[in-house]
Amino acid sequence: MTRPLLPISNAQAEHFVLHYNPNRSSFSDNSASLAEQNFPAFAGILFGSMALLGLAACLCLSINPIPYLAVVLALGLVLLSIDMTRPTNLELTPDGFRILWLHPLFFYTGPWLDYRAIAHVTICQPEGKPASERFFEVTIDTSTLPRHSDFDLMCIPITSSFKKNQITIRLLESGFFQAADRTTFLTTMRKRVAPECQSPDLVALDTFGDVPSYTALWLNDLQSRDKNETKCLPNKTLLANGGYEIIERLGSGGQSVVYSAMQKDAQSGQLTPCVLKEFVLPTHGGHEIKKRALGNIQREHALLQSFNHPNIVKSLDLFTEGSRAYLVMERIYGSSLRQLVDEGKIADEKTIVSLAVQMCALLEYLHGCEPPVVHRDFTPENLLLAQDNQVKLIDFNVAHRLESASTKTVAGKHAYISPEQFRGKPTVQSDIYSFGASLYFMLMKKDPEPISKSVPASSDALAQIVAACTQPSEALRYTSISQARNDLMALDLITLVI
Amino acid sequence: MDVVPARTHTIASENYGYSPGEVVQINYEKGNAWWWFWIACALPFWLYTASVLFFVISILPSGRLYDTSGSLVLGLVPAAIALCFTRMGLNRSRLTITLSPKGLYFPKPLQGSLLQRTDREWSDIHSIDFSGVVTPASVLNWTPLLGYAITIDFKSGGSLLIGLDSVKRSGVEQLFEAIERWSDISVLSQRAAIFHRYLVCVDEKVPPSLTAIWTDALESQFATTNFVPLKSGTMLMSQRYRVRMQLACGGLCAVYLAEQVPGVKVILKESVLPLDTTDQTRIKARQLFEREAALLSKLNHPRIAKVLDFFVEEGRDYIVLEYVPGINLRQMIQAGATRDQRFLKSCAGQIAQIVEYLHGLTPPVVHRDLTPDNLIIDDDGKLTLIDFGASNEFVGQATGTMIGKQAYIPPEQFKGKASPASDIYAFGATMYFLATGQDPVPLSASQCPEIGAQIDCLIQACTQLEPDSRPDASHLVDQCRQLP
Repeated sequence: MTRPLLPISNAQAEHFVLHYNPNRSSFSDNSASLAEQNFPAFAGILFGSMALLGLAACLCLSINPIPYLAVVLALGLVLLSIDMTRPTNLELTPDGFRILWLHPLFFYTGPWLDYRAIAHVTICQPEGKPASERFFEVTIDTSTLPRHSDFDLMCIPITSSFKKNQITIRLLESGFFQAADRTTFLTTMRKRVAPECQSPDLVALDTFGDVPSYTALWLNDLQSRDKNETKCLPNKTLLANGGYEIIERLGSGGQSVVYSAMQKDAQSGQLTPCVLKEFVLPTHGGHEIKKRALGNIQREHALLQSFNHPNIVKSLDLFTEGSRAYLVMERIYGSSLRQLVDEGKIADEKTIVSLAVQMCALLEYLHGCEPPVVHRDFTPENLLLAQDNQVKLIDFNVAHRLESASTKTVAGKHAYISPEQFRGKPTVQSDIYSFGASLYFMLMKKDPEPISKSVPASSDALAQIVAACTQPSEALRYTSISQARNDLMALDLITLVI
Repeated sequence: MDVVPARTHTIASENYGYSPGEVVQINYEKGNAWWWFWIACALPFWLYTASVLFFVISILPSGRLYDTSGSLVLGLVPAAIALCFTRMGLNRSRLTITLSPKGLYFPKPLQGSLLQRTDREWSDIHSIDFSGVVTPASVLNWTPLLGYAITIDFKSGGSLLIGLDSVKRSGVEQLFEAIERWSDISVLSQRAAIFHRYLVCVDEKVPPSLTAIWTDALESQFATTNFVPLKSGTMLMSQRYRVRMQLACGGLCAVYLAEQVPGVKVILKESVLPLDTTDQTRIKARQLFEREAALLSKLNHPRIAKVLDFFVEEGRDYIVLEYVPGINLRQMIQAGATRDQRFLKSCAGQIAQIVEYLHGLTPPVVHRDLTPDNLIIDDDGKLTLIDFGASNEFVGQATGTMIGKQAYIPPEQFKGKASPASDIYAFGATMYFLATGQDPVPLSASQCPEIGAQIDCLIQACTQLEPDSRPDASHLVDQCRQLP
């Protein structure tokens, strides 16, 4: 039996919620939040000094100070009581729920209330406000409840002004500390509150939130700290509360370890094979750094989700566990082009050209996006040949949209990096260079010479195309991948175009 | 009243359930007792002011109503003085914050901002922030930290402000260590992380004048990794080295500050081969690593950080380097140091001598990673070369991946054929950075005519794209001597 405590806000208590808002990542307003927290002390100092100054003024002007002091005192009491009457937490159990007031100097626990007392639950989006201001509204009908004089007193600020026997609690959606809390709240409401009392918006709402926000990911991960510290995950490990089961480790690259796994559907129990890419997040640079690192992975996830192309791997989900983040991707059965070339399974020019045409289509799609996507790491390792002879591009870790600023360091396999990418200014032509270098690798079975024109010892026309792709100077290289594709098609070597 | 919330209910104060050795206690002195002392001292002044006020009131025509109350005030003041001194005495009592594997236990007098719930679980910590501008000097002389505070925010509400004037330095260090051990160090904000770093790194050996910046861009030093880096407190080489904190990480390597157990600080560079590397490459990489490490440990130059040791543990390679405190040339330039001819000449001369020493060895040693980031400057302007990129190189060879500061890599090194002339290119690029304050354009001969003809000539000659047309190290030393 779990009794989660949920922080509550009501309409008048915006600033109180702010203090609890986990989205507060920068602490520039630290002093302000403390002032809110020590509100009674601050109010005390304020009203104390007002009273003293007034007293001095009254004495100097020889006015009777008692009425003035009475007014100041009354004002102070009113302000204090407004601060004190905001409920802070909500406790849910299968049998009932209660409202808590946990304030620094004062706390009060409401009586247990029956779920049948809830007249209406809805989710409201205030007009003209951002989606983060969305809140849940729980309306409770107190007419059916046994009378509690102190509870009635506490509820005055949240009692509806038009209907006497109604209290309204508002919970800011972004104010939930943990996504689990939001889920618990939603599932409890759906389960316990009569269906006719639930608004259609609420029923339609996704239990797990629409997009995995950073906060949700990060705060959840704090709850489930991993204990098997430095080792890589053994087979049959369960992740994400049993949502995924590790089958085996597939491999590991420079930034991540890759596992094959089974995704278990929560409702139907259906198993789907998938691939988990594991990243260990940096912990030592402060949570801003961790957030940024996770942001990069989220960007890869979002980028992959925005693509709809048969030759690009699909990203299914993203979650964190412990200090590790996992990107869930579709399972592709096949080997990388490097493996296939090393094993001698790709040998004849015909196959290579038909694969090259597929790669062209793929790059054409990426470069045709708005804004164009530069993959930046288009190498034989990152291209898989699936069982149906489809080339699949994986690993968009360093891929970026053209508009974003280039970074200081250069990453990538250096035989496949074009000179301008090395200088930190990758363009769509950099991918053409990498494409040419990959063709050279497939034809010659060895990595090309870095930053130089590569001419494979193959048929003349094909060698010319590869050379035109790998020109170190951008001016001499193909300006778009379509040109390379047209030239390849003109080779007349293609027997099978997929 | 029953208000113990469910989440904290599990840690009942009476059954902590941990062995006594695991508990950390931090002494905390609440409030500043001296505050009350000064109030007590100032009260006679107020007494004087009040009596003057009442005198003025009593002589006003309509002041009749209050002219007798002066005696009441006179009686109250000694009582107030006594009260202040009592408060001061009360405040001096020490409070203890207890940290255990299960959570944090705060003393009752701190409950105000904790919403009456003084027992908190580790997972309840939302974030930890630090307020105040911190410099190595202020950490070294712990006393002036008045007004500096650590704020712990809790998810289930409440927060605690720990003023640094009330705790000892060792107490804060213990708090951070406990967070890493039992919670997650990533709850620290960036400012708190920098403060944590100072706490661990700064000691008497850091020159106090280097108070400039250490608040370097942390983001460039931490990236996602393929492996889980070591935690603070890990022992390596059968208890010989104790990891104090992680300084940088990314991809397949990490850098730690460690203690050689008698209290001497060292730098540990860790590199990991990807798990699915074939045995053949693994053996080859290991051989290369050992050969290079053995070569480096023979180096003996006062201005080169010594390679103290190298070893392999649990499949990870470690190089132990001498710890050189100070700031690097990039940080110094970014802090706005003057780049006059004297400074340039001194730097050029020193770097050239270091390069000459390395290249004069048989066989010549190629550093491969000579950048402003790897040169540490001390109080007297003396440079020390740190960080042999060697360990990264092996991982690079094993995986074919290259990560580095591309502006300092000559074309032939990029092609995998590093030679002594590659260091000369890096020297030229570094001098360009020192002269202009900007990274040079990669893969090009750099020039900066506005700095001075001679130095421009030197930079141009060193950054020639053809390795053969660059001067060699001994010529370099001569040329540096002739600089104005």
